[in-house]
Formats: sequence, C-alpha cells, structure tokens
Amino acid sequence: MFKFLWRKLRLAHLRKKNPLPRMYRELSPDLEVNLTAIRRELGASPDLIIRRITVGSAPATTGALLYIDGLIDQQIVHRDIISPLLNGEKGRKGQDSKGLLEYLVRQVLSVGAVKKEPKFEPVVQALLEGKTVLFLDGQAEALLLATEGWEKRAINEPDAERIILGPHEGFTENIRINTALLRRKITNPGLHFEEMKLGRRTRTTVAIAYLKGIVNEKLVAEVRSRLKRVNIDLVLDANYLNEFISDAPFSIFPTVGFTERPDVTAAKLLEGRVAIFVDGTPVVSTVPVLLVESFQSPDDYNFPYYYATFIRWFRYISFVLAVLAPALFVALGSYHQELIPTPLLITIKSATEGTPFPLVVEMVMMGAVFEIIREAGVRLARPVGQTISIVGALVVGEAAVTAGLVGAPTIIVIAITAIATFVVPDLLGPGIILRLFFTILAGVFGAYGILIGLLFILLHLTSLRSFGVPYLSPLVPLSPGDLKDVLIRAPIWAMRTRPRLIGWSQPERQPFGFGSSGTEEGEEGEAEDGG
Amino acid sequence: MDQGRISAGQLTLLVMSFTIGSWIVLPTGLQSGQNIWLIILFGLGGGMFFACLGLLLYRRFPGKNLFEIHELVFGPVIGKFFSLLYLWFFLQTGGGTLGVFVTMLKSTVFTATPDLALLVPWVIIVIYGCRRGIEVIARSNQPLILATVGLILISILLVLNIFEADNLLPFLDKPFSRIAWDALGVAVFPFGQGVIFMMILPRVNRQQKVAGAVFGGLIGAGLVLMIIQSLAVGVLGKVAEVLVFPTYEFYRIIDIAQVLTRLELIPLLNFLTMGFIKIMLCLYALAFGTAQLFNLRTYRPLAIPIGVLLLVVARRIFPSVSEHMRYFEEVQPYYGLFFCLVLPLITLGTALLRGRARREMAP
Amino acid sequence: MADDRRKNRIFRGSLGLLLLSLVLSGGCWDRRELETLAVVTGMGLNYAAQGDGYEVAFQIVRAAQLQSASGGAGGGGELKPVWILRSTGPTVFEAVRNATFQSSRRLFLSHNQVLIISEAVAKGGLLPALEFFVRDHEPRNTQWLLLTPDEPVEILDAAAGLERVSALAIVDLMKQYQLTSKIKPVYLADYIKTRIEKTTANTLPIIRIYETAGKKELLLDGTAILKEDRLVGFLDHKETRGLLWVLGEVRGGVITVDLPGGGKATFEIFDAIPKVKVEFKEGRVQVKIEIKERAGLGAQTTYADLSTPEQFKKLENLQTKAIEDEIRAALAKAKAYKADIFGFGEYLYKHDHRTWQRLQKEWERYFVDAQVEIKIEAMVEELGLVTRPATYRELRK
Repeated sequence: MFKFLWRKLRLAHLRKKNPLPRMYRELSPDLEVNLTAIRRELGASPDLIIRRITVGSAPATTGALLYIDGLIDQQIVHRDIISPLLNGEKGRKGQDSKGLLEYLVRQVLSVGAVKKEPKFEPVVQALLEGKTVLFLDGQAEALLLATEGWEKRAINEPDAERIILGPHEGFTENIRINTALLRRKITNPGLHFEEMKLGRRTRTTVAIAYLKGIVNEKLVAEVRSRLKRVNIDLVLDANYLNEFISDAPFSIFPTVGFTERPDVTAAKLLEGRVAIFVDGTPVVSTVPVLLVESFQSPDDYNFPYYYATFIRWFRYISFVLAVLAPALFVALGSYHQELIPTPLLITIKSATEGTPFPLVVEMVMMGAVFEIIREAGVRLARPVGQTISIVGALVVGEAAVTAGLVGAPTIIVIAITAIATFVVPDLLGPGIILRLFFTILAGVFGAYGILIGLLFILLHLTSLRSFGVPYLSPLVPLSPGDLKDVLIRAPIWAMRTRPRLIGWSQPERQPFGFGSSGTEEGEEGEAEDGG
Repeated sequence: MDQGRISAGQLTLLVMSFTIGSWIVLPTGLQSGQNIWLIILFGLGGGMFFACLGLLLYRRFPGKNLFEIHELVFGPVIGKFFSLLYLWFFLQTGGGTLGVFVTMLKSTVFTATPDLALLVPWVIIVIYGCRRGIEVIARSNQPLILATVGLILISILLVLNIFEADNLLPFLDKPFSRIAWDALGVAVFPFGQGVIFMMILPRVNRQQKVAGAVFGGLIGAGLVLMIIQSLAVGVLGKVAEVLVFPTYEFYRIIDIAQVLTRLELIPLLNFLTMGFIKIMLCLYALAFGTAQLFNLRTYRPLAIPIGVLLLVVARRIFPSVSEHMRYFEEVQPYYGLFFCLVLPLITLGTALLRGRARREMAP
Repeated sequence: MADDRRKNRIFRGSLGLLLLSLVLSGGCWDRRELETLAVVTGMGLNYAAQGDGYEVAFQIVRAAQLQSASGGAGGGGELKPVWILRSTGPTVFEAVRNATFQSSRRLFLSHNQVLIISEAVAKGGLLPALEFFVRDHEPRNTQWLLLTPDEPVEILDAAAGLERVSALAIVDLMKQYQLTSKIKPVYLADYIKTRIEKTTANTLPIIRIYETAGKKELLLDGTAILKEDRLVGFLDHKETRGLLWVLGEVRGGVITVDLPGGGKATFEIFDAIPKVKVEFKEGRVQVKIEIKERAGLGAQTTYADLSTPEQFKKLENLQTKAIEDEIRAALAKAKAYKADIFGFGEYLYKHDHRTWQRLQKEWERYFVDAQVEIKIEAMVEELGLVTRPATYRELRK
C-alpha cells in the first residue's frame, strides 16, 4: 500500500522534469568570461581561489589558476604547478596559445594526471572534486590538474565490527583509500572496479567491485542496472543506495549486506559476490547477502574451527533468545503455567506476587525502558553514556522490582535478552522488532501466537530473495554442501567450494586436503584420496 | 498462474507433511489399539495403490494437472463437473483439518478462547503462504517437516524409561475384518487424500522423478506415523483406546529426571505445523483449481475468499468431537474411496478406452 | 505484473490491519496471570458427610510465605505456607468449582502433585471419583495416588518433617521408594492403565498420620489392593516388596537374613531382573518366575568372616530363600483376596490371547489355582569397605 503511494509520488516527481538547470555549454576563449561564469556558478565562496598568472614570453599570455582551498594539496600546487609556470622557461617564441597549452602539458607541469576540457560543466565539477583548473586567455579549453588532497581520517578498526584476532584495519571515508585497501588484500588482475556518479546533487562516486572469473556476470549486470536506476538527490552513506536496490524494501531483514572491513569484503568477493563502495562512507555493501552471513564473524575464520563452531552456535542461540525469550516467558507465565516445573513456578510466583500489570505489559514496558537507555547510551558522549547505562539498568530495574511494579523474573529476562541482542549486531534492528512482535503475539495467544509468528516469519523469509538468491539458503532450499559454513565452521582446508548459489561460475576454491607447496608429493596424493 | 517449480525432494517432503497432517493428533483406527502399526502398514499399502492409480493417470498426461486431465478425457462439460467434485473434496479436506486443529487446541490448551479467534490468524497466514505460490510452500515445509521428524526421533529417546514393548502385544487379537476396516480407513485418510497432489505434480522440475518422490513421501509418512503411534501405545497401553488425543497425552507423561517434563506443548505446536502445510496445500489446490476452472489469469485473489470459505467449513463441518470421530469411523472410508479410487478409476478407464479408440482410428 | 505487485501490497497491508484489530479487540481469553492463580499442590477425595457427592480438600501454596521463610526474614504474623480448603459437590468437578466460593483466586490444578483418597471412596469405587482428573485438561496424569485410612484433609494439613508443604514431601517420599522398595508408588496414569485391563487388580500406597512428640507426622504404611476398582485388602511392607520383585520394580533397598550361627546380615540390593512366564497347561495356570538379583553385604551383627567365596555362596542361598519368602507371602495374600495384582492374566493375554479368551471369564478361579514356580539367582558381589569385622585373627599356616 505504501509502495503504491510511493510510486505515485515518484512518477509525479519525474514528470516535473529535471529541476536543476544544467549548462553543458562550451568554454569561451575569453578568460574573463570564463572566470565570471565560474564565479557566478560557485557564488562568492571564499574558498575559491583564483590565481592570475602570466605565461610565455613572446606574446605573454595571461591565464588563471583556480582551485578550492582545502580540497587541494597546497604542496603540489606550489611546487608542481605555480613554481614551474612562473619560474620555468617562458616558452618558445611565436607560439600561439594553443601550442602553449600543449607545451605546458608536455614540458612544464609536473602533475600526474592532466586533462584538457572544452566544456564548462565538467570544469566546475572537477574544481569541486579538488582538481586545479588552468585557464589561458584565448583558449576555449581548460587544463584539469589532479591535485586532490584533503584531510583524512586515519585507518582505524571499525567500532561496529570488533574482532579479537586478525586484521584490525577498517575502511575510511575516502573511496580511493578503500579501493586501495581492497587491492592490498586481493593482488589479482581480476579485481575490477566500475565507477559511476550517483546523487544528482552530491555527485558521489560509487564503485562496483568484483572479481572477474569468479563472479557471475549476470549478477554484475543486475547490480549495475539497479544502481543506474537509482534516482536520488544525495548519497551520504551506503544505506542511501541499499534502500533503493534492495529486493524487498519493506522487509525488516537486510537484503543487502554491509561491512566496514576490507578482509570481510575480500572474502565476500572471493565467494563470488559484488561489493559496492560509496565515497564518503566507510560502509561497503555486498550483494547478494544471506541470512546466515549475519551470524558469521571474521573471528570465526581467525580462530581454530572447533572453537569457531562452538561460538557460532552460541550466536544462533543468542539470537533465538534475543527474539523469543520475552515471548516465551510471557506465554509460559500468562498462559501455560502447567508447563513450568512446580518448584520453579512457586519461585516465580512468589516473585511476581502483587505486581499490578499483566506479564506482557511488564515485558513490553521494561523492553521499552531498556531501548531508551540503550539509545541514550549510544547518542551521548561515551563517559556520560556509560553513566546512563549504569543508572538506567541498576537504578530503574532495582527500583521497579522493589516498588513491586514489575517482577524480578521480568527484569532478568529483559537483561538476558538485551545482552543477547548484541551478539549478532547485523540483525540488531530485526531482532528488536521481532522481539516486540513475538512478545505481543504471546501476550494475546500464548504459545499459539508464537507459533503463528514463527510460521509467518518462516513464510516471509522463504519468499525473500537477495539479488536472485533465496535469503534462507543454504538452509532452505537445502544445499547440504554449503552447511559446512553454517552448522559448523569447517576447517579452512575442507571449505573447498564457494557457496553453491553464489559462486557457481567457478565453484572450486582449492583441492581438498592439506596439500600445500611445502608437502611432499605422496602426502598430497593421500590427502586428495581422503576427499 | 503460478510459475513456481519445486524439486522432487521437496515433493517428497510435501507428501510427508500432508500425510502426517492432522492424523498424527487425531488418529483413526485406534480401536485396534496395539495393532495400530499393522493398520498403518496396511493403510500405507492401500495409499500406495491409490498413488499408483493417480500416477498411471498422470503418466498418460504428463505435465497436466488433474483438472486439465479431466477436461482432456471427458471434454469441457463433464470434465468440469468432475473437477467440481474434487474441489468439494479439497474443501472438505482442508476444512476438516482446520476443524481438527481448533478442536484440539480448544480441548487441550485454549479452552476459553473462541473458535474464531484461533481460526482467523491461522487462516490469515495460510492465505499469506498460499498467495506466495507453491515454491514458498514447498520451501517453508522443509524446516517444518525436518523439525517434526527430528522431534519424533528424539521422542524415542525420551520415552525409553516408560516404553513397554509388551503393550504392543498381543498381535492380532481382533477379527481380521475389523483390522481390514480400520486399515481401509487409514488408507483413505490420510494416505488417500494425497490425491490432491495431482494438482501439483506438473510443478515438479524433474518429471521423471515424480513417482519415486510420491512413493518416498508416502513411505516416509507411514514410518513416522508408525513410530509415533507405536510409541504412544507402548507408553499408554490400552488407555490409548479411550483417549481423544493419544499423542498429546503420551507426551504429557514423559518425565525424565524432573527436567525434561511437561513438554506436551512442543509436539502439539509441532504437529500443528504439519496441519498448516496440509491446509495451505488444500487452499492452494482449491484456489488454483478454481482459477483454472474459470480460466482466470491468476489464482492469487481467489485465495482470500476461499480461505474464508475454509474457515466457515471448518466451523460447520463437525459440530462436535463425537460426530467427528463417528464420521471417520463409519463414513469416511466409503466417502474417501469415491475420490481416491472410484473417480480416478473412471477417468483412467475412459482415458484408456479413448486412447485405444484414437489409436485404432489413427493408422 | 506491477499491478499484481501493488495488489500484493494492499493485501499485506490489510492483513496487518486485520491482525492488529484482532489483537486490540479483546483477545487474551485464556490469559491467567500468575498472581491470580491459586496453585494447588495436593488434593484429598472423600465422600461428602451429608448427601451423596464428594468432599474435595485442597492444599494451596502461599508462594510468598514459602519464599520469605526460606530467606530467613520471617516478619511477625506469619501465615502458614499452605492454605487448606474444603468444598463439596455432587461430582468432583462441581466440588472443585464450588471451592471458588471461598477462594479469591482461581484454583489451578495443573500442579497438583498428590491425590489423597479416603478409604470410603476406595471402597465405593475409585474410577468415578478419578474420572474428572483424567478428562479435564488441567490436572495431569502424573499425580501420585495415595490411600489413607484417615481424613485426607489431615494428611494435607500435617507437618511434613523437613518440607513445608506436605504434598511436596509426599512426592519426595514416592520418589525415593527405591531406598527400600517396600512401597509401590502409583501415578494416576498407572492406575488408569491397569484399570483398563480386564484381569489385573490395582494397588495403591497407603499413607497415614502418626503422632510423635505431639506433632502429626506422615508415614507410608503398606499397600492397598483394589479389585475391580474397590478396596479389598492390604499388603504389608514385606508383601509389597514381594509384589515388586515380580513386577521388576525393585531398584534398591535392603534385605536382612538370619545367619545359621546366630546373628543377622543385611544386604543392599543393587538390582533385580525378573522373568515371568505364564502358561496354561493341564488345566492349570502355570507361572514361572525367574529373578536374577545382585546385592552387596551392607552390615552384619556377628564376628564371623563372611568374605570368603564359601560364605558368599551360603549368603546367596539365604538371600534366595528370603526373596522367595517375600514373593510367596505376597502371592498368598493375593490369592486370598482373589486379586491378580501381578498381572499374570494380562501376561497371558499378551502372549497367548486365544487361551486368555477362554479363561478370562473365570480368571479369579484360575488365578487362585495357579501353580507358581519361583527360581531365584542371588549374587553377592560387594563387601563394602572392609573385608571382615575388625577383630584379631590368628594367622593360619
């Protein structure tokens, strides 16, 4: 229903034509005309620097260097552009300005990437991207000089995806650095990037990354076409695009994956997925994404397989707890008391004696209080945030129980649930929504409500797809070979194949067994026999 | 129409769930007490025979569902009449299953909740699933049937301390005619109701595996039912004969070291999911068949009114438990035979005659 | 296609609305909050004093009292941890409902642990009284059934030694029966299961009150035999174990024998596996009971060294005799009451149902006439922590 409205709105919007007047006109040979045009386009921004110079000797040609202060590397501009232009050879005699331009490019300017541009619009764009523009009087072309350089954040470990062991670097806000980080992980000519500009006003650089030879070409084409169709004003984060290209925009489950880690991105590309980089954000989207990926952590692969398997199961259990524990408690406590063992029932009963609200109300109320505390803790400055958490958790919880407003078991359940929610950070949002959904259903129908909710979620999940891949695979539809990274985390040497539905164009990763370059022939043969 | 495709393995699992369906909670033929496993075995045999019949018919018209076959064999008018008969059968199967579950929920856990409150959310998700198409039904069935089979295997461990193999004796202490009658009842319900899969067979992606899948599903379901009912009789003894929901009751007395105890709700809900699949398949067959009958472009909008109809049927079809049990005891065998034996036989016979006539004319 | 999709959204939206309205409009029919429940842990059944009908006694736990007392806070004016309630009605069900005239909270029977039945009810036929507990969805079939010669209310109200709720104490008494194997605990489910069999007689454990130091305490005291649903007689502890040997329910306990040279020895039973065979031969029912028993020496009241293999052999023989003695005693009682508590008839039915068909009408006669052959293989396997009593012994060369 909402989607219908949304479509209507979008159509109406499109009919109004492009609201931005775009002038793809030619540059003028007259320097002053060009400068005026640029001043008009950018306004009286103080960070626009116009440096007038004179080049050449015989007929001295006036010109101007333009750049935006802060977006350029001062050193490059001074050392490699202004200084050679002013101090260097003044050019041979009798050169017309066209020859001069060519001469400057070839012999004077010691900047890496130089481009001639005859049109006005790209010049402005280049200026905004941190290039330096050189105009010469009498020339209808400008030189765009690559001088980008601005303050960047250092490469840090992403806060949202902490690991114990393994690489600690994370993506930054600069797309170039990010692609470089990825190249450092995958030194392979097959790693291709395709860039495009998205966001009609922000003109943000977006890059699709994939490993040629491993990725399914149709997937790349699909990603490309979906991105091309995005018609958006501004792109500030990967999620701006994710909500456009997702298969099920109304589902609470993420059908586009995201990470801030180069190692995770590299692993996903090697499984045959496509990554989408967006300039200005450290978040990289990967598609297609499966539900089970949310339960995988880079640490799983950095620790021995038995431990990783063990921990992964705890993640599954935690998520189930996070979603269902309050609902189960409500169902048992308000509907199915006969299912609680007698001694436990008496204990719980004595703790809840005299509480004024039904269990479900208690549960939803305390759940809400917890969410408020959590949100406050996240938004506030870190030291204050911690204080809030402690005050909130201890004081509110304790006081509520002492005052007899809620039973102590409710607080215990909420506390366990709250902690369990954070074990699977990717599904934090869905987890919270589902918890509320199930708690209310349990409050209305008890266990029957939970069953109905579960069946509904099951139907929803089985009908979800992420870029053509069933969201629940490899569980449903079952592909037993892929359970090696779901039910267990098989030893790396046993993970011989890529996920069947994603990496099918090049399914084999490596031959089975321990065979490495160091082992002897005989051993290798044996290992292969084992497979 | 639905373009979804399912695999042969998924068909097997669907047949299993459908057959386990509601029978697992409200079994017929428990009058035979300790010989229930034998009755299931015979019933399975009968069910396989019905399946053979259906598959023979399907082999003559590969890629066609039951309603299309009817039209091909009898022409549009009589064919549609036959199809209508089957629509009624599907409606009654689905409504009956729905009715069983409401009865069960009402007499075990939700005694005060009105029927409608239990039925409406159930029917809503059934409609929701049905509209998603056969592919989603088949897929969501996978974890559900796995959970059920897993639960039943675990139950074997849970009852080790209270199971008495002696309770399954004596072998055949009742007249054979009685056993045969009960077995016929089981053959018709639940095994014979599988005739509904004639609507779904064309959706399987590897057609040559269809027969194996159907038989596999029937045998799997037979095994599951045999295990669970034998466990129930082994634990409860002759009391199983007087209980309305023996499987539920037998989970109620499981008690392992005071820890694994009071578990009955888990199997209860688990068995509900089997019925969920069964009802969803019935609704799918109903909506799909109706759409085909009236040459509609899509069956999806039909799911809602027919779902509501199922709800109404579920509330009307069996006014009381005793009537329900009497029906399955005395009427169902004849009634079901008409749909899973007589009608397919007529269709197959006509098809054969016509085929021969055509062959004689052709050369 | 897009049209179809749009309809899908509309459909989903309306589904959501429907669900929401369902949730908001009423709902929660079966909800019963914990604090509105009166958890019944024990019930007593008796005939009503006046008129026909039943008097039902309830033992209801005061959860808060239970908890606070164990915490040791114990403020003034403390209530008893249980509340005893009685009500009457023409049927048990109605009596249960009539209890709500007195109880502000709904009686919740799912956690009822024990059903104490008065002798009067047992004499008048038990099943009509128990019927409600099987039919209704709330009470569970895993309640312990006990018979009492006293008033059931008194049992529920009695002090229960270390426990604060007598019903829970009775549960523990039942659970540790294998320390003696001289009680036969019976679940409601067991009673029903045996009851539905044609020839088998039921048994129920007996509980009664005895006064010590001015306090009423509980005591398990033998077993009652119910034939055709009616109380006919009793077994004492020894006879009860005789019955349990045959049923294979001896899981422990001790057995004491007189030693030939004076003094006694007590053995701890480890396990006992019976094999029963019932046949109909030469116009008589022939029962063969074979029992393999394993035990260890637990105590002796002599100075003799019992640890040699020769002595073991003797001890085993003594045990064999003692066990057979117990079984014979039970058998004699059963025959005297003409009650097939061992389930011989049921065994015959299961293994030779044609013969049973012929005999079942006059099973009483055949049972009394049955020839029972008992073969016991007792093994003494362990000595405990010493070999012989700590007396000085001359070294023999």
